[in-house]
Amino acid sequence: MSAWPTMKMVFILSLFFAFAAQGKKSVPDENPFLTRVKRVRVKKEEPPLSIAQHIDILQQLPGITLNQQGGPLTPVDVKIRGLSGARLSVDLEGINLVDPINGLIDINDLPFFVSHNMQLASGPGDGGLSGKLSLQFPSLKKSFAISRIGFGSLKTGRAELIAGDRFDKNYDFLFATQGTTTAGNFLFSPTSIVADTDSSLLIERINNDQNRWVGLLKISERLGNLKGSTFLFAKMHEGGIAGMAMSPLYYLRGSHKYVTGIQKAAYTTDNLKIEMQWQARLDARETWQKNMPFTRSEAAFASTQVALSVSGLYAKNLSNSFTLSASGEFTRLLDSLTQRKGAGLQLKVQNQIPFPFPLTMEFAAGFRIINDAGIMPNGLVHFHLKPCPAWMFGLRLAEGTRAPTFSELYAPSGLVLGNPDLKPESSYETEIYGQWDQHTLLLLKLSAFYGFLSGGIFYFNRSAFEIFPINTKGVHRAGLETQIAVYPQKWLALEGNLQLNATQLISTQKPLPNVPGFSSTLTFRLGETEKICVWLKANYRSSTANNFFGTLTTPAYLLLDAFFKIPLRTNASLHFSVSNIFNNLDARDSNQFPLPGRTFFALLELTS
Amino acid sequence: MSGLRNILNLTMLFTGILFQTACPGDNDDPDLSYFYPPLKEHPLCRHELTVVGQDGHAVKARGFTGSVPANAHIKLQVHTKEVQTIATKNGRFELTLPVTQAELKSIQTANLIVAAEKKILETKYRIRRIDDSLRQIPQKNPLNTGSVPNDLVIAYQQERPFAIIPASLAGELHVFPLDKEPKNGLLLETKTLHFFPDETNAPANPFSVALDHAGKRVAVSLHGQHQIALVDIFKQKILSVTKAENAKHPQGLAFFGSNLLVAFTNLIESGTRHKPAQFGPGLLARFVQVGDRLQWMETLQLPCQNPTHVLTDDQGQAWVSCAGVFSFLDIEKISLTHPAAFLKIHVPEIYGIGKLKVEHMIDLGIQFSPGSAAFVQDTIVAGNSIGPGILLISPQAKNIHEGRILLVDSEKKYPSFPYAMPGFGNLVFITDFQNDRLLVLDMETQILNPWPFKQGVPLTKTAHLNIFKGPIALAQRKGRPGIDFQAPEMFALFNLSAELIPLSFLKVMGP
Repeated sequence: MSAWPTMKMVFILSLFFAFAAQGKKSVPDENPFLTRVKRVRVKKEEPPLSIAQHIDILQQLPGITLNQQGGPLTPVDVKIRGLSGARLSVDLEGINLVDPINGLIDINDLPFFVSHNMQLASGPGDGGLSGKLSLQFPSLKKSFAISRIGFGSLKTGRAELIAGDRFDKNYDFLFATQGTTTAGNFLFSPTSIVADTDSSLLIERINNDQNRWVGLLKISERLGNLKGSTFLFAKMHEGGIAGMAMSPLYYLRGSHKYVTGIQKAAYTTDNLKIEMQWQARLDARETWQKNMPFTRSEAAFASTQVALSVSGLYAKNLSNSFTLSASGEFTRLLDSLTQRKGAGLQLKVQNQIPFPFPLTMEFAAGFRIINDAGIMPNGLVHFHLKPCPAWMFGLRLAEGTRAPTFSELYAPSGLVLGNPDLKPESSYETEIYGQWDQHTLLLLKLSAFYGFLSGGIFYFNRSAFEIFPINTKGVHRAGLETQIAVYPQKWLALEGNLQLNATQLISTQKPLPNVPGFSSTLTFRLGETEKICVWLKANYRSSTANNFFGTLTTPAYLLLDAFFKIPLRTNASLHFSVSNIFNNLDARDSNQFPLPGRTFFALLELTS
Repeated sequence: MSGLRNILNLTMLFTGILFQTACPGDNDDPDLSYFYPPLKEHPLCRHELTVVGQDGHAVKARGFTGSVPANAHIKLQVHTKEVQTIATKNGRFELTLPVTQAELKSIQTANLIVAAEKKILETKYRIRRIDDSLRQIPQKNPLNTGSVPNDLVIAYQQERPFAIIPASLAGELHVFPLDKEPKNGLLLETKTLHFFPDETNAPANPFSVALDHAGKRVAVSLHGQHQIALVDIFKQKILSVTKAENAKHPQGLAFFGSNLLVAFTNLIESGTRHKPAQFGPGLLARFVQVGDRLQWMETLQLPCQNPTHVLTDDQGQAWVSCAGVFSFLDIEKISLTHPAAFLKIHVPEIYGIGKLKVEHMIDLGIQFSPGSAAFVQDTIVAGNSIGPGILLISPQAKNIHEGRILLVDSEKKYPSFPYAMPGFGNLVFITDFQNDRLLVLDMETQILNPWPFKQGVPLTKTAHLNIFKGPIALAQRKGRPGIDFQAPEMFALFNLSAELIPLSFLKVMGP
């Protein structure tokens, strides 16, 4: 399938909307699963509402590729500009949600249902090598409660409760819990030919049931200049590991549970803030074969992180600021003596020069020392120019280094091994971007980047029977990202993104697997967000390589979704979604995992 | 500094892309082309078995077995110098002519004169730069096979060769024409047959193929579904699917007349990091091909575990190789918990009469796990799948100590040699899985990697980067390259990179 039809569609619709928008004013879109521009917060007055799947929110961001293991609620890996795995940093109100053993994050673990702001910073320099995803909770001005319950195809169910209250002027709490479940069985087409000709040859995807639960509690306290908070987050996930399309696994299951907590204390004066935080986490992970209890594989580990940061304004009239942070970390596998210790120091300085144009300069430098990986420096230089309110230009140069993860170094004998000889990998990235923001009417952002991942860690065969990670010679990455948002009327909006990605693993001279050369998401809204409205979404992904040698490919796909919102009363609304409207049965995600055909989901929301 | 590096990298990247676009590849050098000019056939010399090239400060000529008539007079002339010898009774010869460095640079050709039976043949040979020529053997345009290809056979339809490849993880059987040059890993004439998961969602995992004696059908072992499929390869149709009672996980198989023998590994439980895989006793089932179906006749319990290949020796007798049971408990090495073995099998010749039985067993112990073996000159040649050795052993031997193991130099720590195939000139070609190369064993001298194959035949460029593609099987096209056809004659199947790479030995052999 060619990328051109989608590109042309986006271009023509953009022209149409730009023309329709002339001379009209509207309000910014309140579409709950859209974000207007990367690096700019998604502003919402209420907790956001994702309709069918959490990942709908992330698909709107350019530079992101989501690889799901088939069906709703299965683990989802996220790639930022082609880099995946342990290279992404995820932060939920200061709490680090990345698995301390393998460095991975399952996007379906993240509590998008309660987060208020979402911010994505691509590239190294802000924590991860590929980027940093930050989620924030709503600030509590008054007590509130929201409950949602939904049901849909594949026996999918979802129930959630979010509540917040302020005890008195000094204390408040936020509580949220969500349970989700799906039977997960769906029909898919083994080949593109069968889908059109013989429905009796469709294959049922089984062992795909998933059950998830997340819960969080945050208690905040204020005493004059002193602020403190305690935040607990727990997650449980149990489900089938369904395998690839033509080589399904009907017996393998896995579970992952963890609980993590963070305590923060901050002292703030007029131009100085001192903050200290301590995080601890306990994980338990199991895989087993159905009906074979003696084949369990278990792992448990504990980790803790301590951070102290001092930030302040050193020239208040120019809004110049600095942040100096020190951190320490400790991780240990509970069933062995393997452990890791580390410490880090980071300085970030921001300068604003108001004349002749507002120019913001940001500099950051720091390092981490890990006992088994050595010193890992990072640095960032960012210039941000705003010659007029509508225009913005920026240049960003960043470098970061990542230590090999615990699993990459020490995974014991078996099919997947660790490699104790691994060295850290480094990423350099240069980005230029420009943005034209007509505020309530039109937004256009274009960015181009080039990056090089030096010593990139990827898994290859160690022998005929085992795989292990090695430092490769590196990966070239270059890309172009476009975001467009047009709001010609209060009842009409178009948002979309297009991304071109070129990667090349030097060792094999082939693109990285599962990174599409072209992908695009286009969303069209009809109706006012406060009233009955409908969103139509098209998601296109070009053909992608499936292995490091470029010999296997996943075909391109185009999926169309629709979302409806029907306000029932002032404190109740009904949401309905149809995913994959045209029932494309041979769409495949990474590694040939089949995606479901047409599915429905209905959700009722009640607010206090 | 890193910014400058970025710019340089960016420049290199785009320069590379532009260069690739502007210069798509080959020049007029016949050594770089997929198809090459025909060789002139002459009874005095088989050019495809003869090579002339540099060897240090000398020009060397070598004719492998059958290259010239027995006791022929051979003379090598380089400029004004010459050297001569008499070929062996097997038609082999070797000549070395010392030359100066200056002569090596200036002289491009040598004359090879063969005299026998009152005839003389003088042929001008290029003096090959051996390392460069060896690198040109693997062709640049491979064929993409589907995920985890495991086996390779060549079938013929009206003299046209087709590769039959089962891709295990993809559940596919590919039929590729081999007389055309692939483009971007594809050929329009490629046909793909799909094996779907069954009603219990068990995958098919097509594992091995065996061509029947009519050459139009293949039996395919469906490892995940414990079945054997009979497929008409040119009509792209599954004719029938059969299973043997109480036998699980078929792997290797071969036809003997109308009998089909299938090795069942009888896997009970896959291995984990805590304990090795559990196997039942190895089983060998016999089926009889009756029209479009296979009929199960009997199953023989073998005195070894994990039988992986069914082989045919040079007398047409059946053999089974048992790989033994692998253990991964030790992170530093892979070992066997149950011994490996070769078994000679008596196969009933007449339909329905007699029984399968083990005629002879060679105990291979727990240090050597054989891959697919070759039978040449009353010798079994097999690579070790878990260590650095090539075994040469008599079919009459009782245990591995009666054989001879040739140790192989390997830069890698965990070598594996899964496939041995008899080739031209009494050479055996053995795949080196971890180094992406072919080892060449001269059966006449029992020397591993004789000149000009001193380091073997390199198959890819990535092996030295610790990234290997894993050659797992070989097949050779019928006929004489250069005489009967002008295209690659050998094909290497890569398990990890999922590709079939054509090999053209006339890039180093011949005039």
